[in-house]
Amino acid sequence: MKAVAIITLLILMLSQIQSAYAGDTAKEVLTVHMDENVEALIHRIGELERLVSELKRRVEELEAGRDAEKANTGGKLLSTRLRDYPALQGSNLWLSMRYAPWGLLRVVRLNGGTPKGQRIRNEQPQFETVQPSSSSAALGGAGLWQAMNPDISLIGGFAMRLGGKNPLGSYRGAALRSVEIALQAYADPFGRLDTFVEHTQEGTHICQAELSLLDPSVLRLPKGFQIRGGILLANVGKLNTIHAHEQPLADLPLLHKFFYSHPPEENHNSGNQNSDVSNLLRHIIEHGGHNFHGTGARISYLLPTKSPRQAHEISIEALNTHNLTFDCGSGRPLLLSRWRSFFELAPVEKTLDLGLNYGYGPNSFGGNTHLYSVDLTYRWRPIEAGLYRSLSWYNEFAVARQSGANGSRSATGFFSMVEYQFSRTFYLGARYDWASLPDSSAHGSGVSFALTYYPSEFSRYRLQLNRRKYSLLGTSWDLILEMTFSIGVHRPHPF
Amino acid sequence: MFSKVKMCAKPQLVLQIAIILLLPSVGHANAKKLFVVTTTPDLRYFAERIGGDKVTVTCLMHPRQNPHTVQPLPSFAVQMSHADLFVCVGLDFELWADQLLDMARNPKIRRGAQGYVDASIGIPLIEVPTGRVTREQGEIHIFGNPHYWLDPLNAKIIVNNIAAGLKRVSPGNSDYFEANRKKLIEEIEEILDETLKLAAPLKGEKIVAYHLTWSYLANRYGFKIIGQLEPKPGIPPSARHISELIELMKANEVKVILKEPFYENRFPRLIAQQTGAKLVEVAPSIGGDKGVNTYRDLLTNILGKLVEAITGCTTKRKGE
Repeated sequence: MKAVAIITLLILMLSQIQSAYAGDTAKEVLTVHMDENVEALIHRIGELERLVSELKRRVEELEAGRDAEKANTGGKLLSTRLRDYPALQGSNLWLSMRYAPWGLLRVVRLNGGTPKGQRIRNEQPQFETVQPSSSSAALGGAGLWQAMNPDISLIGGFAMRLGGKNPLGSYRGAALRSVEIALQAYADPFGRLDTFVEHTQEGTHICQAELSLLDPSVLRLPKGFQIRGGILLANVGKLNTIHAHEQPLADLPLLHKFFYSHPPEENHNSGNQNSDVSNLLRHIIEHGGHNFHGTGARISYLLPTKSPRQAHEISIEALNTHNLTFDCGSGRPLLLSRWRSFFELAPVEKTLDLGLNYGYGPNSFGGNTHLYSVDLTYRWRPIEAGLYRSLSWYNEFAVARQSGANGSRSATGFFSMVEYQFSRTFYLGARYDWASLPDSSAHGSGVSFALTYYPSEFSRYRLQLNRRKYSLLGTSWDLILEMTFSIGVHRPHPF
Repeated sequence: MFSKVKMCAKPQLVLQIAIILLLPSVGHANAKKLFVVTTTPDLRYFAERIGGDKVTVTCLMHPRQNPHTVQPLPSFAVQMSHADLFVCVGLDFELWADQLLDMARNPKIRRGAQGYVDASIGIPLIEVPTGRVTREQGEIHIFGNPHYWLDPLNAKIIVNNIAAGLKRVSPGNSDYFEANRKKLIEEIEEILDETLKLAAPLKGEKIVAYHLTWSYLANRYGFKIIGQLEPKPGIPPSARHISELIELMKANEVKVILKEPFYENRFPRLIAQQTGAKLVEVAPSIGGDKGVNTYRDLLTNILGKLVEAITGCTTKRKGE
């Protein structure tokens, strides 16, 4: 019995000792754990103290450097500073949303998925993947559909004949020259659509509706290719791809008027050749002057070059058009090719643009026309004084060889035109030109001088004097005042 | 036996030849530098610093060129046609950029693509027009003032954006770019501290500028631009506006007229004569003034000239 009692006592003592030992061990473990926590807390407090002191310093700078008027802006700037501190990245992102509403969705997602500031900092690239795809999309308050609307602009031109002598005697005193409405936007990630509707005295027509496939990879085309289709401005010469309101002078050169004007809708044959030609000239002088355009497609290729100061491009297009040089009424299109070489003679400020053009297509005489032309453009805009001085010198020479039922005919045309900017708002222009009709039945030549005033980038006033001499019609001169206004978002024209 | 060996050797030989032929191309691919096109010299500087010897950077604009007169030359499009990364200021600062992107036919750098970097993303903007925006207000920037690189804190955001772009187009060099990014960020913080000390005399000063180029700089360094020679952005000065500006400057005792080299001198000199203010001409971009080759140089040059004009003391750049 004693033995049992002793054994029980020993077991109890042993269990007490064990429990006491176990308690000590647990305490030790607890102590070690607490020490670790305390160490981590101390470390964290140290970090926070550093942050707070740094923030205080920054806030003091802000307060010192800014007056009460800028209080709101100060808040915005403070947010920028906070973004540099990992612990405050979240609030920074939230504030950033005020500036970049389009990035709102991405910011919210970043906050939810990555609570730690440093991770957000590392994932900052993701911001860029949600950049607004067009400028208008970033506008606050604009709905999605509104933001997707195309850029719309309207350009109005008015011309007033102040005086002159004209053998045709049918000029109007003052008239709306043209109104152009442009609708322009990217259609998808691969292309864009630019549509220009023009209203003139002769009526309303679409002068350009160009669908451009800008990314060649979508059709598995080699790098450097580009395709355009629709109603295109023919890629011939330098001036033809410039719309009327951007032309250096109020009217197009005789070369463009005589070669590329549309013939009159009702061509009465009076039996008197001189009278018919006079009527045609009258029509061209009064109504001619549209850009050479047609319906078709163009493929162009930007040639690779090692020189960073050069560019070479070749383009081929098939167009369905109807003018004095080509008439595709038979259904056979005009084929037009252009080689363009561009050189920077002095980096950025002096450039030379050379174009060689060849066209082949049917004409209205039942034969074909070969069109050869060369254009040379020199431009100068000084680097520093580019806002106040510039010079553009355009030259173009063209030969059209027509064959048809009445045999072969050859016609030539030429112009040289210079535009000099002598102040921030004033330009002087001058032009000499001569050309004959493609069937060489009449010709004309003349000089023009213009003074242009640009109060801003979006309005223009131009005073122009034309003196021209036409075969069969005699001499004419005109003093024209032209006013042009632009509203809305208008994409710059190609250089 | 011999024929068997010959049979076995043929594929090996072909393989060896293939390896030999491929090796140079693989080596070339690894060694090939990224080609980066930036619109401004400042962006080029940051891209070069982050990209180091892994990149070749070219810039479209001249450092002394007015950004409003840049022409989208076809030769720019050729350079962009083989670019891996395109970095722009954004905020419609380069209205000509979209046209060049279209001409370049390079899907890698189109807007929204991996190789397109709008450096303005994340910048806290100032002078954002509110209410109805019309051209009656002049040639305004509807998204806000785009001259943000003149604030070192914004420069840090630019650096982050460019680094992110480089990492996207060359993930294999991410660590290298990240190391350079961190180094550059630290340097910009140093520049901030240095320039804050340098610009201390400018705090509270009122100056007049030609164009709204210096707003971010003024906000950071505590001076105030109370008027511009342009009555509205992009609109030339008129006689009436100049007369009003002279009165304003006299009333506020303005000591400095700040202008960029690409604006005319006639009106600033006239105003300086009438008011006794000093005319300070300084380029807002790296490389625009002699000896300005880094971001530190740029800020030190601008602020140094301003301090000199206000206090009459000449400041020295670091290292001089």
